[in-house]
Amino acid sequence: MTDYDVIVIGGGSTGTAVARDCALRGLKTLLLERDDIASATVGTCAGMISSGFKYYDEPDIMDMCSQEVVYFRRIARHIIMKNPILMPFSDIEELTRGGEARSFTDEYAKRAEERGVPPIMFLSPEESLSIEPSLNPDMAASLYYEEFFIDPFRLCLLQAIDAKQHGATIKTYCEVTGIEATNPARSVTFYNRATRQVECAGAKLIVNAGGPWAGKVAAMAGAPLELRLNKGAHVIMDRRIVNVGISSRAADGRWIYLYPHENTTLLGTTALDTWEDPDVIVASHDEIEYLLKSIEWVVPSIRQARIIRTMEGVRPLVPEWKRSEDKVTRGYRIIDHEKDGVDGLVSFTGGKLVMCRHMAEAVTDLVSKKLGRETVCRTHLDPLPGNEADVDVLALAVEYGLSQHAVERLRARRGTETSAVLALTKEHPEWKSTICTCEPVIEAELRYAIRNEFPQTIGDLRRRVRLGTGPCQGTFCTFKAAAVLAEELDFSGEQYQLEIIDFLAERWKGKRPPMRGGQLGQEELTQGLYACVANLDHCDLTYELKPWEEAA
Amino acid sequence: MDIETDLVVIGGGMAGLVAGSVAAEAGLDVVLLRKGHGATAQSSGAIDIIGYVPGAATYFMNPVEGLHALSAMCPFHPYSALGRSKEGLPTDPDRVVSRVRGSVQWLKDKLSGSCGALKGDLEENIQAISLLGTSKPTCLVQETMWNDIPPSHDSVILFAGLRGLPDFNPSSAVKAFMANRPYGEEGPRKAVSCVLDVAPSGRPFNLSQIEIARSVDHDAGLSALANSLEGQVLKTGADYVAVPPILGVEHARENRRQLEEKTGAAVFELTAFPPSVPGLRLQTGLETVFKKTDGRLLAGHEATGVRKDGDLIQAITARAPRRTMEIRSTAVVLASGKFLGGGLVGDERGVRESLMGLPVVDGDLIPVSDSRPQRLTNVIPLSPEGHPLFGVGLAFDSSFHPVGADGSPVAQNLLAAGSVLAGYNYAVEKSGLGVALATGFAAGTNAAAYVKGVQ
Amino acid sequence: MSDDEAYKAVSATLDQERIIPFKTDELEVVRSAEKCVNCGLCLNHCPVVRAVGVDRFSGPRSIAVELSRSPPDFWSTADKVYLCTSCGTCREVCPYNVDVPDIVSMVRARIFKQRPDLVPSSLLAVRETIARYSLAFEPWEDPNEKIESRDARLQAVALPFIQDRVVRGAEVLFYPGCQAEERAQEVKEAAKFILSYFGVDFTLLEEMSCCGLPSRLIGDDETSRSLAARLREKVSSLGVKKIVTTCAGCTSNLSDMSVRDNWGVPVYHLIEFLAEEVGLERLSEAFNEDSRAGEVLITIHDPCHLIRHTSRQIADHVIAILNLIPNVTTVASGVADSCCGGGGMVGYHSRDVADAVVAHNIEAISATKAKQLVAPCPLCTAQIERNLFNAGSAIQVDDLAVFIAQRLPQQR
Repeated sequence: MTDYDVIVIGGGSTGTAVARDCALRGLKTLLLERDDIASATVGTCAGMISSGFKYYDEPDIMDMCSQEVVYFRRIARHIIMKNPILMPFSDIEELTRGGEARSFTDEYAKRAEERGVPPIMFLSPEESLSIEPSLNPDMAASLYYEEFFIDPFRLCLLQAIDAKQHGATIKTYCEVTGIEATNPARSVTFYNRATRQVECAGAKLIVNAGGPWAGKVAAMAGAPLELRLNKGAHVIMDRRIVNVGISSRAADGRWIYLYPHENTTLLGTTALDTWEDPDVIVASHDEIEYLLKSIEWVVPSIRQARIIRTMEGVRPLVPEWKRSEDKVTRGYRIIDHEKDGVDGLVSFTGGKLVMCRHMAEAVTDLVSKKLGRETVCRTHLDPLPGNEADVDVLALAVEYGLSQHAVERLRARRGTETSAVLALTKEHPEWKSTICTCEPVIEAELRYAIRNEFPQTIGDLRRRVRLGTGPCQGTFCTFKAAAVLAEELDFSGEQYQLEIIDFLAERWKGKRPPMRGGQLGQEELTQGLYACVANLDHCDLTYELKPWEEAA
Repeated sequence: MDIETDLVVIGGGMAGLVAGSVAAEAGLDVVLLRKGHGATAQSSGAIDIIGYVPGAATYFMNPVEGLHALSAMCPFHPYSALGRSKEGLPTDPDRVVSRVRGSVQWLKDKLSGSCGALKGDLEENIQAISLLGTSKPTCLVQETMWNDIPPSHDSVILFAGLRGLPDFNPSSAVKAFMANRPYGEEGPRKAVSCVLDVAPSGRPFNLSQIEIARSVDHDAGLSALANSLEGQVLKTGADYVAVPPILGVEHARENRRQLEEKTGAAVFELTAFPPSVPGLRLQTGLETVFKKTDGRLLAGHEATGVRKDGDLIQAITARAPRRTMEIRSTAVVLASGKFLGGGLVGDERGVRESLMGLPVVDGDLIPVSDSRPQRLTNVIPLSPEGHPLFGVGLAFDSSFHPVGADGSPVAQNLLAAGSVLAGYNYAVEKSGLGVALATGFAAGTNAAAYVKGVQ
Repeated sequence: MSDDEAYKAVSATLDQERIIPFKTDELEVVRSAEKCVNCGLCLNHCPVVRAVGVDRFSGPRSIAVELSRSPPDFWSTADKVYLCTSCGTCREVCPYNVDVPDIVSMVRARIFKQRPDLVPSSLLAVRETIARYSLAFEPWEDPNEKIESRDARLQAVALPFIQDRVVRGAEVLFYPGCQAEERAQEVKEAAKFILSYFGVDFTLLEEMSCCGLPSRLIGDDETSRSLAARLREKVSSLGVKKIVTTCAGCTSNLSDMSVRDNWGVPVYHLIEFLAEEVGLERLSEAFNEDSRAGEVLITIHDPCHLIRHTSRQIADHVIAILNLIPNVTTVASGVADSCCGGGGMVGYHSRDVADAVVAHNIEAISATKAKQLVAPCPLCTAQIERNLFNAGSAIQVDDLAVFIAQRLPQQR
């Protein structure tokens, strides 16, 4: 049994940030993730690195968020995108009630310059429409502000890889089953799904970044931890149908948004308290219609757009009750369970994507103190892998004889790592072939990701290279990617087929709730390939029902 | 410019082209409108008649058995309608079989000698191996996919891929093929794989099936493939060679013959995923059949409106990219496909028929115009039951007139054929092109009888 | 912050993030692109894919499902998106008729605006010509030389000269297109003769200006719109009821603009006008009145801008008209509807690709025993003629207007 300084439980934004910080500070770190990196909550968000604009009644939070945006722009420069956002309103009253307008514009303006954005501006209807013609012209004015966005999967993966490069051990598909955190012999027991073994690891301290499962994890150690679990859905549309972000009052008065996100558009989000198993939730018809109706007031043509899937995740909120979700603090809490008599465990509640580095820094400071080590945080200074320099897309495209767009998409995911991926094609020119034609993803990137980024399934690959995230939702890349994975990981014939079926099931989870319009023909095609031609609907394999399939 | 004709067929897939050809052969002036290709042009090279009843774990040994079973178990299935007379008496399974057999024979005769030529018959369902290495039961396949002698337990089968063609991975196909062999069943002793280097334009990446097929249609491409394959056959001692469906667009059968001569092995194509070369062969073959009957095919024309007078359709509005016209016709066959073909469309409120707003029902004849599509799906994407969503369509009578809620024909002179019809799920049954063929044949025959009757 | 400062800040961000708002008609194009299901059927039919392979030209599928999804990324598609000949074969075979040619125009328009350095320089040169002359071909400097050239061509095709005319209130505007005006002048002359023969009350433009299609294909959206506006004014001030043209590209483009900008005037290709307005009966009479020409075996080329951007029925009209002419037998090449590679402005910057596309046609055309090829479009005619010549073929290529005119009686 290996002994670590720290074991981090949970491979989301917080967990990977903690692992990175600990590793960078020289602590011997193990990260245990029961599924894949960023496979839970963080994978279902809109990826906004929020400036804290909405939390003007928590100025400290706003300060923190703003500062974190500055850090992100430095360390993750290559995977950050900026979206201008328009917030049309029909009535100045809407914004000025209770002095709200003054508060948030002032608070925002205070910190805008350091983030490299203009202060909030008011635009006339004409100006608004000239920026975004899809808007409903029936408005008094729009608010204009700018926010930054990131691919949450790449962020988490790069944090994990950075941690790995600094000596951390990252284990995915390892589900924690037991924690001993009271007596001096502290350990974590976990079931390793890849090896099908129960394993054990020792640690001086355990950090619980389990997100929605943090309560369960803490309970394993005998520590109480309360969370307020709140689910949120997004509707994902094919391609950019608007060129800037749009924000709108929702049907129930909350704020919802329509954001361009790389080559899709995200419509979100809902907020419903939930006691359901996070693994089984899928977007409901009510949530989908709520979002569409809400945005329809400002983007009347929204129902003409093609919905390709939905996603749903669970927020692990700080347990503040008897108030609506948007009134719950967006700050996070670090709970040192020493007060519960479990002094080897520290847990998180709350937090947002933008804060993950800050959360990690705070907890790593605490961990270092408890371990009696003098350490200095560098996570706000050191660039994440791939960020070291600029990439000349056009030159690389010519050098390797690849499509410029394919290289550009590679760059957007990997920055300087692009060259390492392309270098693989020198020995294997056939790996220049396109596997996912929607994105696109070339075979070299798939192989590179498989060899360096520890995916086990096509779903994991999807998180790393965006395979299957386009309008066809994996119809045409699933079988090709499965074959590449089967080769690299030496799958059996059964595993290869199950891999295809599993990814189709995972995509179906999000495709099914909004099924309509263009997706009907797309699904007929999917059934045509995998049922009608390949006959996978009649295969004799032992298919494990997925949690959401079992629950239905 | 407006057109007057005896019959206008809406839809240019298997159902439409068969209906149009049959009617034209019976002496009618036929105009066929095709707005785009559909499922037929993407088909795999196999013509399914009937493989499974929905929900069944095992397949029918032959389509005759399957048609008998359907006649008994699935009264609303399009095949079953073939066995019913106007009086609506119980389905006569022998009549079903005989009509299906008739249309199959017609198709085989028409396509004989063409790039879409078929082999197989109703006496047996064969196992057609796909690009993935998995198999499905089917009835007819294109000649280049047929093996006269199925692989015996003594034989070696070689899956030959092409370097730079990501659509087909032979080593994974081998694994799947061997994993799926039912225990104890006769089959090759050994399955092996290889990758051939035959870059048609000199580069071994981003090859597409169509490029390779076109190059194989030329001597240089065929030789390159043959030489490459010969070496591998010698090395592996293969008796059978399975290749992706790229043996040619126009001369696939001849190319295959030459490959077999050169290598001494039996060479056959696997069934295709889109973009399908065998689908292109079938589509081309069917269009040639139709044109030979002097039928008039208007490509790039979409039927966008209907003019009805009482219970007769008077005219169809047809729209080309920048022109619109009216086609006045004595009869109409609607063979516009399902969702891929565009015959049916759906939004969150329900599913509708796209041209005339005809009532759409599910496999139990329950209307689905107010059924959210998601409700018509299962939580598991691939299962022997399939999704009810893909069994929705038009309700029809025994002559293939679409019928309204009261069960009577929407119009005296309107017939429908193919996947726009309700009552069957072609993906899980493996019945798509068979239903299209049989119902297209019936609709075309009935349309001709109607037109002659009123003239 | 003042309004001016606000405007500057917003513009700066939009520039930096490469955001250009969609125009209203672009939204229609986006809707069309959204329909793509990635089936790849278009790849089996695209003439450019056939000619150079999917690696060089990723094809209509990639344009619809990959390259056009994120406008800030459009600049990176410049190595593919200029290779489309805009033939529309993909759209015609697509299950959802995804309008790839229009998607291509939209992408090119943004590259033109955001990254003109990535626009092929030869296209920018054409843009200069259009900017200077409002014509896609550099006009004759010396009007006398232009007349001399015209007369020489008239003599070569043995057609009489019909006086140019500008008649306000005429029934029909005859619009020759830039190529027939400045280069293939015999086409313009033949059309005038035909119209005059059938007693059509027609006028020309006082001053010829381009219909704007080349500008559109270059991505110069602004110029294409201003040319359209200028033509609209001219048409309106002439007060004509119909427009007839001999150029396939002008047919589809003018048809578009007439609808989009409410000209209230239908547009016909000459062939359509003859079939639908003059009528096959009158044509037949005319052809049979005085059959001068001897027996000839011909084959046909159908321009993409007619059959796929306007209507396939026009091909039927061509055959119907040719069948009326005595001593003319038509033999099918099998590639009549296969793109000649002359479209999309591809030939200007990637001549090898354009010629690779037409190689498929040349092979099949040469294999027929035809002595002549006829095509109702000067662009296709030029492209095929040059390539047949380079292939050593003796087949004569003529514009269909010229061919028809030559078979009308000249003495009445």
